[in-house]
Amino acid sequence: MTKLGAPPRETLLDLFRMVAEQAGEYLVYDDGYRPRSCSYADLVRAAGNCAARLEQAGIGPGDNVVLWSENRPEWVAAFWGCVLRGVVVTPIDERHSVNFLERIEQLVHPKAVFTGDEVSLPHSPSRVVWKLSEFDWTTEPRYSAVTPKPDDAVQILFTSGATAEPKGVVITHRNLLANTVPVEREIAKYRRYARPFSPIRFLNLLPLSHMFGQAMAIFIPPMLAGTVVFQRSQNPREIIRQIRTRRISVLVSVPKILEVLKEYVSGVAPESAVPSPAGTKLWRRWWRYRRAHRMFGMKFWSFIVGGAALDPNLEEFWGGLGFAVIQGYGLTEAAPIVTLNHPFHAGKGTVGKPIAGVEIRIAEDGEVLVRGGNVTSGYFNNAEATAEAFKEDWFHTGDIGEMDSSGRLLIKGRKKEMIVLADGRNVFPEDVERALDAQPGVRESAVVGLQDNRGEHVHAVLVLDGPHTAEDVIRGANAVLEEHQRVRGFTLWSHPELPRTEGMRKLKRRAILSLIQGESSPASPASGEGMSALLARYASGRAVDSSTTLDTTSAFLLWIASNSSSRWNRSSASPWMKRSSSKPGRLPSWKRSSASPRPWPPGRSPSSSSPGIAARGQGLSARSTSTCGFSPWPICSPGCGSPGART
Amino acid sequence: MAHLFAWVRVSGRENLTKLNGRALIASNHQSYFDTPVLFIAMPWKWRLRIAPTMSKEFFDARFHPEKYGHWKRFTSSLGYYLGCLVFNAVPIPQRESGTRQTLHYLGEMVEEGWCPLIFPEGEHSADDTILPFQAGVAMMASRLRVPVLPVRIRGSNRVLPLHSRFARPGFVDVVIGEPLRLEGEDFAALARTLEQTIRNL
Repeated sequence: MTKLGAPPRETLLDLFRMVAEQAGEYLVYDDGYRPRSCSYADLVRAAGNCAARLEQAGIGPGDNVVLWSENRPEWVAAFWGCVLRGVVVTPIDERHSVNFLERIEQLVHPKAVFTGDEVSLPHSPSRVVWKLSEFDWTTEPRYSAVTPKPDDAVQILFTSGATAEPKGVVITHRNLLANTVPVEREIAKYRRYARPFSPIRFLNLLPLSHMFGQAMAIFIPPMLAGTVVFQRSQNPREIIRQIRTRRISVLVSVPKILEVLKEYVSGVAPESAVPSPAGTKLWRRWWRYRRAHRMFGMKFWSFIVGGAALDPNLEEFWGGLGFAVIQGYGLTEAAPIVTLNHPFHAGKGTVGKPIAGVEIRIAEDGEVLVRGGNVTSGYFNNAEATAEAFKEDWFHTGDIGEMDSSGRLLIKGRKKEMIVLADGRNVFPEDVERALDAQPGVRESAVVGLQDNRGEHVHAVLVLDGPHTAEDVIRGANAVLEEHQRVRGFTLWSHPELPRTEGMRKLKRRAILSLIQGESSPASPASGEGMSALLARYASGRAVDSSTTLDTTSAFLLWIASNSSSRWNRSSASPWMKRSSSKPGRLPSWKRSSASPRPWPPGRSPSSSSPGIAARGQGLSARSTSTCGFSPWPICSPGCGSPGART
Repeated sequence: MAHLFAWVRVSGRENLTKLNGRALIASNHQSYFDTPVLFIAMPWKWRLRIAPTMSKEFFDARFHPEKYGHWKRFTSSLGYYLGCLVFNAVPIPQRESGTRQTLHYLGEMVEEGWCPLIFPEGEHSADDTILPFQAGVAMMASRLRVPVLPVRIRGSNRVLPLHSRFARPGFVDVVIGEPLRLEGEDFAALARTLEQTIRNL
């Protein structure tokens, strides 16, 4: 061991040796029915068996395999198996469609596709499919090891693009190690203090196809000989039960989960919704909110948040309760960490200081530029996109930020027009616009990320021709778009043209967005009472009123309503919850409405709109979610394990 | 004590070696004596890990005491705790809600190395016939991805008939079948497959 506490690491194989040295329970997977666990030794054996299988199939260095699965221990085993054989992994989010997979296949020509149990891949004679659940965890592996070079690719992560060519970020051994070694050195300083609390358990709700999800499952926990728990369900009660019963210390998730948990905790322990006076000592706050702490169990202390921007109110809420909220900033292109808050000295509202080996510069226009060993060498077979992102050695992140006096980074906004949903997934407006423009009757369209109190959602601005209605157009476009790219609301533009720049005729999406936002923004739905207010709190990006049908809301909402009777109505501060449970007679107002046109929400009649905006719709009264393609899952993905998905 | 009344003859024990210790044991149900008979039929290594499931509704007075008098509450609770302590019994709801929690609980038990014992008929068959199997057993096996060990019991209904107060000594035959995996979503059909397997034993 070197003086700095971390031995030299050149390739991921050195890191794998460290994983193999650890003992104890490593991965736990709870699919909602039966939890399964495996130790470090089991994982090393399974990874070796995967490598042996790859070798038998003649798959070796430089070849590609696709990994399309939910989070599960076999995912990690398959990843390491590929690293051991020098095979390049292309992970795909389980929520992506088969169509997306096929596009990736055309780009990388994988030799095999590893699939999980929650994805269904149609049979194709040209495709070799290996099911992760059939992995061999028992026999001792035999395979011939390869010796990769630091600049060999480990994985290619594709950004979604249903209509455009997906962009693949190539991540090498060097990139990943440049990111993990500084963290390892930092952890080495604190390892002996962590010993009384070990094993430190992480509940990881981020997808492993996401770089940050990988870092918090594959690379960082083994440094602490930690345990990583994956679970299918994203339901707050299940998350809290898992944290309490498994004695979890750290929850790794997107900000959306923190928000859902906040709602739940405020319902069950109403005192947590009332903030403590400023300057109250930690132990006093802990005692005051002891009911919330008891709910999570005594070992739980921190949230690590990634994937999307965290609302400062949420950070304040959980910080006020006495939990640590650790925020970082990262990009897939930076494999993934750029800055990270120190767990014990977190700067509120900031995303922390750059980790060792990463340089940050703020450009004249405020854009954050990154340079370092962790930054990718470029996009897969896409020199144009690479040249656009890299200028003078610096990677242009497209985010606007500034440094505070202590050297911590603050993210102020985005230069790119990409939409980042609250669950961390990115949507490129051009993709959605292309799908909208392909619909009959669309003269022009623009897609913007409209902000509401639940985060950003995809909003379309349309100029229509002929007899086609906006509902039909959006239904048609949503049918071809990926689940997260689907349009959740629309505005009809009364002028024949959308605003564009003079020379290049590029869409002025920012101007359009500010016009839409300037129009009366919807009143906070949380302020109301009754069932419609309850629904509106969860129907992100959708207006809920008397004409809202069950189809346009979701099974998850129904679940909340039904659960509020059994669990949440202990809250005296939540009159709307009580009413929902005690007066089931109110429910008929949800009944499927007739196909009559939607009444305009108060203060939002066409005549009262801003100039240029003819009409605005949110939460269309579609007859069926499956045909119109509106996602029925505002919070969970299908099959995530919420009772709506399984019985 | 069950040895005094049930003279158990076992066949098919070699099938236990085909399992890695995790299984769902499914048997036909003739009498209250079936559980002790099965405990006797299994080798000690297995015997210590069997957790018979019992109908939660059978102990209604324990779970919903407000509807019952004191005596009924007492006897029901006593029966419940004795079942739990002596036989490692687990209550599972037959008609009440809570399927998901039950499945999750059984899943945790399987992971910890317990073998839940299920009587898929859901009630006693008074004679030697086998009643139609409920689909729940197939759901458990399929969802928990655990092999099912089919077991056929013959003769326990003569040792302790359904409504008799005292047992009469007699031979009981236990046949342990080959473990089978039930996978798929058509639980009723899977349950029929299991039923047929047990009938053929």
